[in-house]
Amino acid sequence: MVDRIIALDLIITTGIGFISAYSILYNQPTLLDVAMILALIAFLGTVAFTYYIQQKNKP
Amino acid sequence: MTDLIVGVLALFGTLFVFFAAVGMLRMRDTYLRISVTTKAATLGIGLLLVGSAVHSYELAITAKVFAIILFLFLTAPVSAHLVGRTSYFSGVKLWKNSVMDDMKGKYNPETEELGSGLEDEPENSDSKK
Amino acid sequence: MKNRFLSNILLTFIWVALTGDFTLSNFFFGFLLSFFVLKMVISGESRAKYFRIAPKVVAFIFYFFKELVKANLQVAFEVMTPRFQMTPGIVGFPLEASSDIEISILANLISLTPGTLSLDVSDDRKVLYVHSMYIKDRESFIAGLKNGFEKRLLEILR
Repeated sequence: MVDRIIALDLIITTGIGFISAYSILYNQPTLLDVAMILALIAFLGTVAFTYYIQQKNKP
Repeated sequence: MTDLIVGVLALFGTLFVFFAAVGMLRMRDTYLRISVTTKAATLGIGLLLVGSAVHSYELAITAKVFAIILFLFLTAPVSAHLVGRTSYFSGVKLWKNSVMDDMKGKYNPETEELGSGLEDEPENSDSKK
Repeated sequence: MKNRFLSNILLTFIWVALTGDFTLSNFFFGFLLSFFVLKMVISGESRAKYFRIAPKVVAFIFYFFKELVKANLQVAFEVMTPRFQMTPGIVGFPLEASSDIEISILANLISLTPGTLSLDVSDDRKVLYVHSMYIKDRESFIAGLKNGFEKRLLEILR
C-alpha cells in the first residue's frame, strides 16, 4: 500500500519532468504553470493518503 | 553555447529521473524505495527546470522556475518523512540484509509514544556519542 | 544581525536603481559591493555576528549541493550495477540541536541527501531516527553526520 503512494509521487514528478522538457523542446514556457500546479497537487495527495493509512491502522 | 548548456542540464536531469524509476523497480523494501526515488527525482526535476529557465532567458520565467524548485525542495523531504514514518508504524518490514534497527521496541502503539532509549539506562546506551 | 541584513539589501537596491540595470547579475554584484562597503564602514561590537555568519551561509549552501550531487551519483551507481552492496539500517542519532527550527532544518537536510531518510524524532527530542543505505558501523556514521551537517548548521543558527 505504501509503495503505491511512492509510485504515485514518482509518476507525478515524472509528469513535471515531461512538461518542462516539452516546454524546452517547443519553446512554450507558459506550460510551466501546469508544472507548478502539479507540484502542489502531488504534495497534497501524498499527505492525504498517508493520513488515511494512519487513521486506518489505529486500533 | 546556450543550447549546449540546456542540452547538458536536460540530459543529466532526465538521467536522474530514469535512475529513480529504475530504483523504484529494483530496490527491495519501502525505505530504500523512498530514499532512492524522491531525492533522485527531485534533483533531476531541478536540473530540468533550470535548463528550461536558461533556455528562455527571461526574468518572469526564471522567477517561476525558482518558485517551483523552492517548493519542490521544501515539500519533498516532508512527504518522504511522512511516508517513511507511516510505513514504519504500520509495520512494514526492513530488508532481510539490514544491519541494525535502533527503532525496534521504542514505539508504543497504545499511547502513540516514541521513546529515545536514553532516559532510564544511561550506561547501557551505546548509541550515545 | 537583522538590521545589518536589511541595510545591505537597501544599499543593493540603491546601487541597482542608480545604475539603472535591472538584471540578476547586477543585483548580485550590488549585494557583494554593499556587503564589503558595510564591512569596512561599520565597526564596534555589533558588527561581528553578521559578517562572520554571511560567508558561512554561502559556504554551507555550496557544501550542501556538493553532498547532494555526490550522494546522488553514489545512489545511481548502486541502482545501475547488478549486485547490491548496500548495508541499510535504522540508526538513532543523538541530537545536539534543541529548538524546533534547528531540528526541522536538520531533519529536512538529512532527508534531502539521498541514501539517508529521517524517520522520526523521539518524544523527548533527544534522538532522531535515520534510515541510511550505507552503514559501516554505528559510531562512524553518527560521527560523520555530527561533524558534517549538524556542526555547520549549529554554527550558523547559534
